[in-house]
Amino acid sequence: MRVLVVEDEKRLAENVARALRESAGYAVDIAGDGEEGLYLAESSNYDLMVLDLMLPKLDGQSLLTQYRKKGHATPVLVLTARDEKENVVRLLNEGADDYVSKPFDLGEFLARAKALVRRGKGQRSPVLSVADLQLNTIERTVKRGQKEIALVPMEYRVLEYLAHRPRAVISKSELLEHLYDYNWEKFSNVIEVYISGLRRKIDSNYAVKLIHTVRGHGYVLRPERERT
Amino acid sequence: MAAGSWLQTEPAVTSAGAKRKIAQRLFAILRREAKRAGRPFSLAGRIIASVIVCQLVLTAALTTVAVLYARRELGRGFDAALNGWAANTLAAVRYTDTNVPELLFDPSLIPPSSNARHPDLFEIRKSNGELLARSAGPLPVELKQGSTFANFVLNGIPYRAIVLRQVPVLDREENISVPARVTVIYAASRVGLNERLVQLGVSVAGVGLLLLLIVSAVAAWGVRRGLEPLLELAGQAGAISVLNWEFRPPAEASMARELAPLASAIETVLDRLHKSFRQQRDFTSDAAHELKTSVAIVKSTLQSLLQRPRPEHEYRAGLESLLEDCGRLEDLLGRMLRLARIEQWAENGLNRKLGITEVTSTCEAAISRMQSLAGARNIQIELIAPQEVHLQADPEDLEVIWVNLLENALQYSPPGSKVAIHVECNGGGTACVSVQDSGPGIPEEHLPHVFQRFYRGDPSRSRSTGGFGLGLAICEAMVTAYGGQVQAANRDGQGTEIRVQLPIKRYELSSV
Repeated sequence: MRVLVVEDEKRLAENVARALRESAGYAVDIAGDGEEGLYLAESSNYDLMVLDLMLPKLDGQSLLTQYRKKGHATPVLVLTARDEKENVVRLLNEGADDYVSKPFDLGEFLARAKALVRRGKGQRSPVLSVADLQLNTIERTVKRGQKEIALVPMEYRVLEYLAHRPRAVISKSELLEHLYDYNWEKFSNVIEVYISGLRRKIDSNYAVKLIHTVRGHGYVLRPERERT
Repeated sequence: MAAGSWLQTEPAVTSAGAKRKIAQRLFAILRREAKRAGRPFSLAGRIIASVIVCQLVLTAALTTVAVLYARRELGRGFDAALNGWAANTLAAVRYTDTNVPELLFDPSLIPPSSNARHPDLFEIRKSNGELLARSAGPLPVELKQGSTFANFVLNGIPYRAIVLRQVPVLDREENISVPARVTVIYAASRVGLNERLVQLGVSVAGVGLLLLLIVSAVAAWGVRRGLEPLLELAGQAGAISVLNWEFRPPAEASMARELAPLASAIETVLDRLHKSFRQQRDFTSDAAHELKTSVAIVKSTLQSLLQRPRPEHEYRAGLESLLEDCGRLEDLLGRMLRLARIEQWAENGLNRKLGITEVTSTCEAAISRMQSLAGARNIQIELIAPQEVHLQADPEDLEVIWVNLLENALQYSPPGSKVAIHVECNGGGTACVSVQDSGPGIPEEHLPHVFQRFYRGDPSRSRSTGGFGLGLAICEAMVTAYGGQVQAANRDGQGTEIRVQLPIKRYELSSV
């Protein structure tokens, strides 16, 4: 998952980004003003935008309005110091999905962020399951049947992304875009390495394979009977 | 005595004098009422009282004029009647039928007395002064030569007498070639005349007082009715509160020429109050926003440190940044408090003894305080002060103004540029200090607002460079407290100039 944080207060942006990286395993980009925020939001696909309202150059409200007008569906979580009712109502009516008011609790912020990401992918439960595979997005643990499977962080993030949209074919480039922030050089063979690692840990000892390659298109997570 | 002497010793005049005294007393009461400061009084009562007083004066004047006029006219008639009665008495003088006719008075021919209770008096003398006839006793009247009428008092009764001198007795003219001449004095009492005058006066005054009652009642009703729009206006004004700023002056009040200025004054005052109330509320909300943001930073840093066990250097870095954030919070609180304190001064008047301060030295002090920030941004501060300027102020207050102006200028100047501070004495009346930067300038639409607290027309101009949007507000508050002015202007693409003008002479600290 990749999140855009638009916040001009550098320290706050860093704290939020660190929490999202450490506790949710998300890739995070930071924009320091409204114009940069809008540019980044439109040039990449994010799974969540965290938006402050008081921003230099372009304020958060206008950014949100312009962003929604262009038809972008990424969930937006607003950070606001003005939590008066009318303000909140206006924000939600402009297309925000949720808000936390400053000073916010980091735990609550993370919970809301995760919930928005889930909903953005059409999921409701924090525990995603495909056949007997269970992925707990809160504890970031993976089980197949009763057996706990230990994954390296990148493997978990690839699996989490696939598990949010089971049965959908997801291209390598989409995975690259959603798993790395813009500071990373993106090489598609990195994805192949993680996919093979996942296959070894999740599928190799089971009759029903879950991770499949759709040649020329990408990968899909779905239960499939072993070919005879 | 001439007829004009009737005007004196006039009983009706005394009654008018009494009324004048009443009027004077009423006026005295009104004046005393007006002087009683702090005592509530009734506007309607005052108006009604003045109507009554006017009416009283009018009644008194009317009565006086009527009585005087009647007295003159009745007096003339009385004189004519006196003349007639005297002539009738003269007719009682006849000649005897003897060869040498002698004068004879025939009392049976005397006309009846004009007043039954106080009989008329008369006296007839021959031309040689010999008494021919007279009534009961001698007339207590001395007639001066040439005068026809005289007044006298007999036993307390006022009388008026007429004298007909050397009138010919014209009885039996055929026998007498040269008629004998006699002098007739005839006096009648004036009691009847005076009674009629009193009656007239009483009835005029009575009608006047009756009218007074009616007019007072009408005035009382009219004034109450007339003051209704005022009460309504007061009701409307009384309904104004923090929750309801709407003031709709009643139509009648705005139509009334006397109330329209009051209504519009209330509107203006309310407007101003509402504005300052809104500003205050905005300030509170802005301050809360600023504080919340600062607290959010501290809180998120702490929570993020606690999220998982971390190596020591991460804790150290976190604590250091927390310390930095606390410093920022402290700075914000300090600025807010300073702003509040300056405004309190301006409101209460600065009751401090102010010495004479040299402006340039305070500028130098401010520059030395800002030197490290300027050095960090590689900006040179230039002081241009051709002459010493002295004014009555606390040097620390002046330093606060210059430090904030310099801080603002340094924030927006590109590295390597120059900030200039000019000190001038403007025509002897004002000290003028201007700070010029070489930044991008302020967009025209933001210029009128730059002194507003927390104003960030373009937020990138402040927050990213470490400001809160309070520095210029502090400057303005301080300058205003000293009775001066501060203005911001763009210098044709060469940056911004902020100009402070302070009065040099002893000033009254103005309230904001």
